[in-house]
Amino acid sequence: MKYLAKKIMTLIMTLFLVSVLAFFAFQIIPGDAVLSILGTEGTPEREAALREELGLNKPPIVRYFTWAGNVLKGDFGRSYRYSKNMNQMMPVAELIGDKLPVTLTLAVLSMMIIIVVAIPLGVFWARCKNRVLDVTINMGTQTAMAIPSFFLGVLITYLFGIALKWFSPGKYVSYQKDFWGFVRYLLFPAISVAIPKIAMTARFLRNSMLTEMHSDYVRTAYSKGASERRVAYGHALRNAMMPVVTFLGMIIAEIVAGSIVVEQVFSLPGIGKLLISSISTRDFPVVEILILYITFVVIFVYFLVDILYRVIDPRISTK
Amino acid sequence: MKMIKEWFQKQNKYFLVGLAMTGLVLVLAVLSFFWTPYSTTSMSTSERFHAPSWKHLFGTDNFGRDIFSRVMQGIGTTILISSLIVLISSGAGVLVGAVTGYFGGIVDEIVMRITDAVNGFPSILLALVVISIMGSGKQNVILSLGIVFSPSFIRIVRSEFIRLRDADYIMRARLMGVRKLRILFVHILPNIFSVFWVSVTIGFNNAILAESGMSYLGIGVQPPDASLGKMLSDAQGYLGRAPWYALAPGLTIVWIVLGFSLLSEGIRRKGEK
Amino acid sequence: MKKRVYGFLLTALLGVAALSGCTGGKTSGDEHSTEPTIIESSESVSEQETSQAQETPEPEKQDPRYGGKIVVGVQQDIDSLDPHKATAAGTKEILFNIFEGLLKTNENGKLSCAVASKYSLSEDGLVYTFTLRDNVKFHDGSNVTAEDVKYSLERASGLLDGTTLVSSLKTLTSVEIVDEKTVKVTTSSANLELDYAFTTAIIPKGSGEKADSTPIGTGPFSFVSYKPQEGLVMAKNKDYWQEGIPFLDEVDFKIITGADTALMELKGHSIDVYPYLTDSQAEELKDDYQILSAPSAVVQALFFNNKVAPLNNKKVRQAICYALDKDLVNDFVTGGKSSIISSAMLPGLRDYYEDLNMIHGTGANIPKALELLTEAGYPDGIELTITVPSNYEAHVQTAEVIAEQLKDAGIVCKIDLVEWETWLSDVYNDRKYQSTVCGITCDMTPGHLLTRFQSDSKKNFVNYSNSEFDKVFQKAEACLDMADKSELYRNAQRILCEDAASAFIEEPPITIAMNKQLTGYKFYPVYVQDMSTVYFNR
Repeated sequence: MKYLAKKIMTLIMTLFLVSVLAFFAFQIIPGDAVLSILGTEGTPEREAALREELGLNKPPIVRYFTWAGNVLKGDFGRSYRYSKNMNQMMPVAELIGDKLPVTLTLAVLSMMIIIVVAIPLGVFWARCKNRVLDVTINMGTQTAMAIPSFFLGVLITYLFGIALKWFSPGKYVSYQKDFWGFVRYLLFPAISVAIPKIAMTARFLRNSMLTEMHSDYVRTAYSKGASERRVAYGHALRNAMMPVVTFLGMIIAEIVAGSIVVEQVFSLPGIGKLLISSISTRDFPVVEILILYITFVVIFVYFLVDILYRVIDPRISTK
Repeated sequence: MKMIKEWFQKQNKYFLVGLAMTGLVLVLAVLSFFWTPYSTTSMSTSERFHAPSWKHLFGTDNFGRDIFSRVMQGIGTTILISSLIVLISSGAGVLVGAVTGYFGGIVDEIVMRITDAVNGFPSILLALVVISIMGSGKQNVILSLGIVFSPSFIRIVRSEFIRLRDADYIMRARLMGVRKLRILFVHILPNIFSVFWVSVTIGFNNAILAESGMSYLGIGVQPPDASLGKMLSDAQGYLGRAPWYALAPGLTIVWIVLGFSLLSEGIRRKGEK
Repeated sequence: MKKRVYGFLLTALLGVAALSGCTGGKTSGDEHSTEPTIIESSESVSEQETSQAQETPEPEKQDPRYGGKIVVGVQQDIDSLDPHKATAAGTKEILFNIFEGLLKTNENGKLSCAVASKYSLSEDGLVYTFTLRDNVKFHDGSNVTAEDVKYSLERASGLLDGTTLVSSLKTLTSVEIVDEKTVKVTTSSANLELDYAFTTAIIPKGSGEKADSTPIGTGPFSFVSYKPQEGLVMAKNKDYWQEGIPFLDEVDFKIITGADTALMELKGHSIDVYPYLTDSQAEELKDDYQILSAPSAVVQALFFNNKVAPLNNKKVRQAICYALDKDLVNDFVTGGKSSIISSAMLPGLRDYYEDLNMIHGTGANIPKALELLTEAGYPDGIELTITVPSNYEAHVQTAEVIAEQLKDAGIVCKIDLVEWETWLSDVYNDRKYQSTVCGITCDMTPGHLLTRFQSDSKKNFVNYSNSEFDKVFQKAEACLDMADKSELYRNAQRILCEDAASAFIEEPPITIAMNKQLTGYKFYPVYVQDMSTVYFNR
């Protein structure tokens, strides 16, 4: 319990630190939100009024605490840039809430593909005795890791979208309209994201497995007459999985934070695209919340990994 | 001559292939600063969209520019930028990681918290934030990615220093009164080399991928300078008409990263023997 | 290609007697002047408008089919859902389908009646009287009343609360309701071009202040939904006052910010209409789509920030104009299909356009450029930074061609690609740039193209300041005589050209890829995407 409490404290502290950093970083970025919103139709009176309305005329520290207070109450503020209707700007919560399912579904799909393909591949490779196959898989994974995700995305779009016509590039189906159509469309971007990561995970797992296979307890198992297969799956795999779990954690964190490039290539209205454009437009309310979200996801995932570690191997101390 | 031949035969395949691939890349990279078959920017209405031929090895683009020359320049740019990024981030890693790892304390705690938080962020996002502050362009790409990659180096160096801090021979050096700075850099540092080198190679590859990703998104190197990522993004619009325009920079990136990875693997295997 | 014929109309009717009426679009054989105050009283306007709509399809096609949904690709996200506050042309072109004003521009560039059924102007040019059309309904079902008209005009002009939202209406001094079908509008100064300002949207009274008002207008389509970065969906207005249109049930304006993405989506057939093709893209798509084009009514130029060195030196600016090879840009970017220009005016506005291409030439005159640079004190050439919005492929490519081509004159260019939003805030608003490539438009009022070059104009993003130009332009604006006005505008253009306020390049064509099954698209001389006349022909 104490362990849990300590971890949560760390989470909160980091979130706080990051939010402060982000907030003040944006004070130094050039670009005045009021001017961007009003554009050329701005007059000194309108600018002053808008400044007042957005609370921009107060000192930064006051603004930070007002903002933080609102966030804790659940009010994430409104975008400076996007309108909801004629007189209201889009609430950040709604803006992000719309796009989050896209990024999350992409992440889940990608992870599923990665786990389903990489783990058997890694184990198979570790046990593989055929030299030709060994080299092939080695080269194959090396190559897969060398392909930039955007190139892969372009190739996949061209091959499956335009040449084979298995999907229509750009015909993104909203999850609100047709859930399974949505999932089907996300399949190809998920593959683009997954391929390099499958390669990395498989290699990692293989190395991990090989290390385990050479350790004492495995030799003991062999000497007790266990078959190679049983040793591999029954003993070595479980221990080899640990660093792999950490690794997968890193990957999840990265994907959930938003695969910007893939989203761009496949025109997915997800978080990544939103983050890029809101940084460019100095849409502070949106940027702040997004940064918090990403930090939270990253720390949370590491936290889960930590717990998983303890579950798998109770020997690990909680210090 | 015979000695060279023998040496070659002794090496493992990964090393050789990696060496060949990386060698070609480096030669082209260095060469690109002095000479390219054609100008990388001159446009010609009559030469547009020519398929690869002996005259234009990789064909021409929508402006009639020779793609091979541009790819060469792109290689040069990418290698240069990535090297600088790795230099900056590993340098920061060694300096900060060594100090915090060895001395520990509150500074260590704070630095760890910050690096933890920063580490999870996709590098491109962070670099984007830095670029928003400083503007786009070559130098800022180097600076921003250098900053972004530092945390991983810091962590690795730090954990190595922590591991070695309590080793016997280090304790003995301390007892003998060797100055701290000397201990750090003369005694410990050389011993972390193998782990460090692995991070450097991974970092280099990541730098290449990150830089091309940023150019692809339009926030990296600006035209008319050629950058592999930007060429790929420009080429997307002409996939049907001139697929070589997209394949050239894309495959080049794969070649560079793959070559370097194989080379590293080759070196590692040599070490294992 | 659509031809718009502009000719001189008999000046006898000019600014003399009380003028009334609405120019209904006539058969395409007629000569029309750009002069908006010409009488053309028309009886059943709606009849004429319908006949106009039916003229557009090719004679061989069968009856138009009602129904269907299409996806139209646009390059920019919407900057506001409030028609009075939207400033970006990219937003207005979409909102054109949802909102209408008392008057509306038609595809010939003339004004026709929309919410008003007729109007007249007093002798002194200061009082407009509008008669409201019967049974025009807002999208929420309520009828449009004189109260709504008064509210909309007051809000837009600043009479309501002091802040002018639509600057072209700032000369309004009062809006009076005469009776439930008539509204009288008084202005402080007569201006022949003010009529175009009455295309400002009429919205329900009070909707501008209500917290959660959905955009409600009187146009052929009603607002359904808007998702930032995705698109705006609109649906057929079944109670639209004009008979017979619109045909489509739903139009989805999808936001596509990259030209390469657009191409992939077109190839994947996920969009039906894309109005901003470059020449090479058109080449690539010509088998799958209909490719249509027309002059875009956009003045594209390499705009100079006249306050920044070395561009504050007239000789340097002129040198660049001489060195610039406009023909080359035309060739590369638009396949030779643009009209080359040398000042801020469109060749299509024939009454006002002055061909000044011979002053700097359309090709590259390097010797002259070098000579001027040396005279200006830069014998070794200069460096020039060109900031371009990255989502407009045409401008980006133009910048690349210019950068390469200016080298011969010792001008070394650096291109800075920025996001559209950043361009708007840094270049257009804050004027923090050295030079940029973009296009400017006008709403059929030639004055609009020139007005921003006045020293005190808020839209003067080029920081041009020339008191002689100001004098000429202001005289032209106040001028009530067509011939004089035209001459003054020509003078103004000449000043801009000789003074090299910017390096004007061309009027590019607007090239559209359209689903082969669609017909009825009308090109407008202004920046609009009118979907009300489009239908599936199979």
